[in-house]
Amino acid sequence: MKSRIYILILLVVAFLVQSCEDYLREEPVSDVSPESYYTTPSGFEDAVEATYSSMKPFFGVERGFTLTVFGTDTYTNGADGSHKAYNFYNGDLNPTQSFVRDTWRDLYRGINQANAVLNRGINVPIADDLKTQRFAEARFLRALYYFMIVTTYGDAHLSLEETEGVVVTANHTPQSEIYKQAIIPDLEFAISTLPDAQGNYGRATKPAAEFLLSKVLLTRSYKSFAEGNDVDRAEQLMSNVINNYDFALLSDFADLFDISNEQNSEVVFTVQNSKSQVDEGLDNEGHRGHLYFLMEYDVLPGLTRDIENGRPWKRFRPTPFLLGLWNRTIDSRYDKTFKHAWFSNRESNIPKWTADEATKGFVDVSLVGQPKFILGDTAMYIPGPGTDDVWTADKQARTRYTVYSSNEWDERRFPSLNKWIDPTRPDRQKEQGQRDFILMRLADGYLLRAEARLKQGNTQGAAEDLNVVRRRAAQPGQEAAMEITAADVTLDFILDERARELVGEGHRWWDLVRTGKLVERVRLHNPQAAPNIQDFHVVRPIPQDQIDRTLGGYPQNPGYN
Amino acid sequence: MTFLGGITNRFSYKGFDLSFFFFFRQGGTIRSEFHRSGSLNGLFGRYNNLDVDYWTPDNPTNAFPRPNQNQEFPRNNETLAYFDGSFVKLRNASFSYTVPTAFAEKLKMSRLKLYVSGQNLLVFSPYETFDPEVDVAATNGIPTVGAGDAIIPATKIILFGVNAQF
Repeated sequence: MKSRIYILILLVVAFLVQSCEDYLREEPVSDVSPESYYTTPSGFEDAVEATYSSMKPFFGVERGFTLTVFGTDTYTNGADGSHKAYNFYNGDLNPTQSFVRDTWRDLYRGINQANAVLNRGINVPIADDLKTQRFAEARFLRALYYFMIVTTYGDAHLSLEETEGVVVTANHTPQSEIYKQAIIPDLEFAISTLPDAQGNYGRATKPAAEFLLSKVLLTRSYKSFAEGNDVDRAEQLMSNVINNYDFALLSDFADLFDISNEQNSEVVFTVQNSKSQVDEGLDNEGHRGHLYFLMEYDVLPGLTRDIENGRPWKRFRPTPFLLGLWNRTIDSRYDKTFKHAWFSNRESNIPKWTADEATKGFVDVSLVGQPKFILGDTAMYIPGPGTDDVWTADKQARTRYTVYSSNEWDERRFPSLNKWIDPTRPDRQKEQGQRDFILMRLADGYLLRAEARLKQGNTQGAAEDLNVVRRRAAQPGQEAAMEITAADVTLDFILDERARELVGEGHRWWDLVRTGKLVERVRLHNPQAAPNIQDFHVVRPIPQDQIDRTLGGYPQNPGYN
Repeated sequence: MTFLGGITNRFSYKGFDLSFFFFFRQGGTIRSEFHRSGSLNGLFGRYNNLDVDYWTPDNPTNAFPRPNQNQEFPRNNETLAYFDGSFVKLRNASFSYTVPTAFAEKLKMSRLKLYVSGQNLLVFSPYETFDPEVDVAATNGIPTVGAGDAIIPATKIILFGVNAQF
């Protein structure tokens, strides 16, 4: 009885006592989140720098090169690679393709990062002019990412607000609106705010924003929703870039790709990579262009793979059309950027003269059994386009070293573009190279301005711009021979000149889509793609992931269903 | 349609006892890691390759395409790795001999039995490279033969034994 009373009293007391009203307020001191970190000065700076990093999974690595270099009139596929669908334009180029999915995903990550900077930075306690400048950098990058989205996918999702939490809806905004509401206003703001040069090399600058806006307006000028003064403004903005700053073309075309002189006067904007970061494994991307353009040299007699000759992934092979574009007597660009000779670096498999070769008269009998060449001698030579009359089969048989003439080129053996070779890598297998990826350079600016002037009907002005680029590219003493007249200037000529100047730099697919020449030129010049390419291939498919994850689905681009 | 089934048999004659169990599965598709181009079957001409029946002008088969040294792996190569996963398996078999009681008693035992038994002794399947019975759950839903760390193929066991009662 007594214990019952005690229990009753206990119960009454329990019900009378109340718990506290306040919620538990946690102060996470080790937490890094947009709320807690991006609103501090150091966090804000980090957030801006993080916005730049969304360029790295695309530019300079396999994804960016695959989507821009082949599947065009200048490059077709080599032997290797699991992404040949982008060159074949067959059923493998579908919404589940990994590069289609990852490009979309990473661009929107970059866009959201920029949105976060703009959202969280409003009240950051730093000086106003620095804050505005950082906002301009974020908006420049956001414009770049949206421009990449519309030129790759067409109509897409538009959001200028940071995504907080889980969102399962997406909008399908027409490209014209994305240009009007996002890309162009962001670049106008960037132009009015960014300085001419930045203390940290690699940050967005005013000329970079003008260059990009010029390209954006030029691209829009080809579309049905172009505005009347797009071409004029594009021409004017590029003139600003060319005239108002210290940019100058390098006198030797080969110097552009000198790995020790990357921050030179011709470069307007690059994606930065650092040698220490790639070598230590902190940067997993780096610049990997040195892998994709090389032919298979490391199985040939007298040769083995080494750092200087590169690690050949033989992904991209030049089309005969590209190789026929340079007139090598007057134009130095093929000779300066393609590799010609490989020197022997492996003694054990240097070939020896055979008795058969002595019988045929190629060599004196006394040399039978002797090695054909020694370490350091030429082991393999590619004479290049236009030399077939000199390098006949007979001459090749008599030559000590292996020679590949144009009738012997195939998916494994082809002229190798050496623009991105990285002889500073720590070992011969290292994939991440240290080069900066050149996004904008002055010669490209001249060529874009020439394209704008052609659209304005100013063929004389276009010819002048083309001649500036062509004179620089001339063989010594041939500058006058390289010049063209206003009558020579057509859109096809400008596209050919862009191929001669900018091959392998990550612009071709976009150039052809912008000018509306992708399907036509691919059908003419890319034998692997010609049977399959269709008109709807001027945009890539919307990734299946986006369609699956959006409530109510997401419209797919025509032709890809 | 996939069918599963089995048949158990027991025979005995004088002191000998034979029992065996056949298990079969009819239907189902498996993916063979051995035939996938990434690992062992690029038909590149340069690397070691699984011994498959590939096309040559003298042997114009449709089983596998011709090796091509200019191509890292054949187009649409993923389809080359799918096979019919039907099989008939001798799941276990056991053969024993019970020594006659009179003889056993001479050895001071009340019962003596010698036996040999085995498990997973024989597999008959159109897929000849390996045992096609794989644990689907361990391979992300795609029954893959020869892939991954979690796949332990069915083991063949042979046991010899003596059963003695004193």
